Amino acid sequence: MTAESQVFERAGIRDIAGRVLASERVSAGDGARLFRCRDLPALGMLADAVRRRMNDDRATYIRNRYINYSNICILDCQFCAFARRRREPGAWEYTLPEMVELARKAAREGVTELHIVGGLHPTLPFDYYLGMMRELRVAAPGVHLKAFTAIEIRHMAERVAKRPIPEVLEALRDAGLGSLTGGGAEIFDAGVRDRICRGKETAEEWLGVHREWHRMGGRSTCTMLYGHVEMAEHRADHLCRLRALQDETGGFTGFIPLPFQPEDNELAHVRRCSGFEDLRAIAVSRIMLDNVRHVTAYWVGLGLPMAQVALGFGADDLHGTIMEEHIFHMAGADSPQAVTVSLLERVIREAGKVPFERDSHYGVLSEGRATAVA
Amino acid sequence: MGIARFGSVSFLNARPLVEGLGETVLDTPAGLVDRMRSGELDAAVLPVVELFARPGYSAVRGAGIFARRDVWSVLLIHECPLREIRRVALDPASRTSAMLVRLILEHHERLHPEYVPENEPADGRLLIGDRALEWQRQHQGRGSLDLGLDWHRRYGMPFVFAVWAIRDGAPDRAGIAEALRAARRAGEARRAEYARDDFELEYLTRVLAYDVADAEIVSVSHFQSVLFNAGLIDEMLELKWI
Repeated sequence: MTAESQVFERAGIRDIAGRVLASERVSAGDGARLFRCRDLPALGMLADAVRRRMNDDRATYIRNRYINYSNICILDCQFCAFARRRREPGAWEYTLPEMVELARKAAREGVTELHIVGGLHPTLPFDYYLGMMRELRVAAPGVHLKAFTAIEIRHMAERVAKRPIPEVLEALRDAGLGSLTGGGAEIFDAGVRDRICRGKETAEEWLGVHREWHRMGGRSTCTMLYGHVEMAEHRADHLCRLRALQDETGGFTGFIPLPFQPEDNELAHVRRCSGFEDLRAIAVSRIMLDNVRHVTAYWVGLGLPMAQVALGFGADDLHGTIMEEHIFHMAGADSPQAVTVSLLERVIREAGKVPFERDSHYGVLSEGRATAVA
Repeated sequence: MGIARFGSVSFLNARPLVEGLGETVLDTPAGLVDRMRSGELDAAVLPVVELFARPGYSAVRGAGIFARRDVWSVLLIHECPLREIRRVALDPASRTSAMLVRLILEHHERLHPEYVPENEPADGRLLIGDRALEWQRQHQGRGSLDLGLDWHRRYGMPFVFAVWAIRDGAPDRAGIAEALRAARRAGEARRAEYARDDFELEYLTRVLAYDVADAEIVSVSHFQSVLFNAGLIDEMLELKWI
């Protein structure tokens, strides 16, 4: 027996490892076993082999800026510390001129993507969203607008514009929408959803928006919110559902596991999951999602030190420079608000990978470009 | 199937796509686009960017030309370092390759070169087809950027340069698609006969591939989305595969 197979044997996953290394697909049942496996180095070794096969030794980051246009939301997701009612203290909404100013500043700083999400706002008209896309496109030409979760799209379709989802997506794209964000997926299992985000769209509804967007030739990312009340089976099932849609459309560019942050929300009795759990989520996601090319270690949620370590456990991307993130920070994330390109590159190099700036489609932009734009 | 009018590319790389089809018009990628637009042909090996530019075609699954990694016959020859290129001469026969050059230079490298006709002085020159293949044979990648490899390095995907596409109004489109797939299968089996030497055989077998399947279809769609977001195409037409 080779040293490698002894490691997997000891971890109790030798059968699964054999299949993964032969490029076979991991079933939901085996996925749940991996999510229960306590031999983190073994999981990491397997995930790293998959990462290497898919992405060599490169690791990417993007120059992006977040704009949370409003935190006013009609939902009451138990895990959320971001949302406010309209007249509640701490509620905000940006006017379009305010957003345009942020976008101009970002463009001057060399940002290539604006990442724009908000709550389900009760009164903003559809023209606000269309106008936002149009004006940002003019204010920051050439900057990719990655905006809206599937949940916001459904909100616009059902309650705001009262038009079918394809029409809403089409109108937003015509106005400048570049790609959809991956948020709002949480955990697909209906029972779990009922406990953490009652009233929110179902799994099928979330998947349906992305399916429609992909059918139109669009690209998006996908996520999983872990570390609250879900079990190993729920995570494995979640990844299998994402994988099935990806088989159908090929439209997901990357997967971003998001650790639940337990401060200032209704699930505050749940402890922030451990570093062990973070790395296991990265590793098992990399192993299971054989058809999604990139796994992002979201440093805002993980913290930069853990995100760096995740590069050895299956992740090949660190997300972006960001600036002014609210959703995770209001839920207790203590990571900084922004990092520089040189810090991200140093973190990647130190982890033994070759850093590359990427575009919103996870395509590598050229070395040297960073200095050219800075 | 009635008598359909077929058009294919006059390069070595398209030979495996026409085996047994009978009379087939041979032209450059740009020439085939014109012939399809005018209705002269029912089906042609079209540059993929034509699918992004005009509705009215169905692309045929399982019959096209793609590079697994490098492509050898789509090269940007450059006399100075890539980042210093100021003037690029485009091959007038090309469509997809010309768009890919623009994407790389303008979007990925953030350069804004001037594009000039083929015979004008330039420090970068796009070569496609048999002329590019000859360059590759002599220089083995020195002084040129292989556009297939460049795409693969950036996105980790194969790159589809052309596909059999059938005009919407053509009779018995399903029958034509099946005939085109059969031609591809027959052509693939005879690649050793088309190749004049080992270099060409490697080109037709290891470098290029013809059975356009799911991964390649995703890559076409990805290319379209990247072009759209880079502002190089104006709209996102729905791609139809038959």
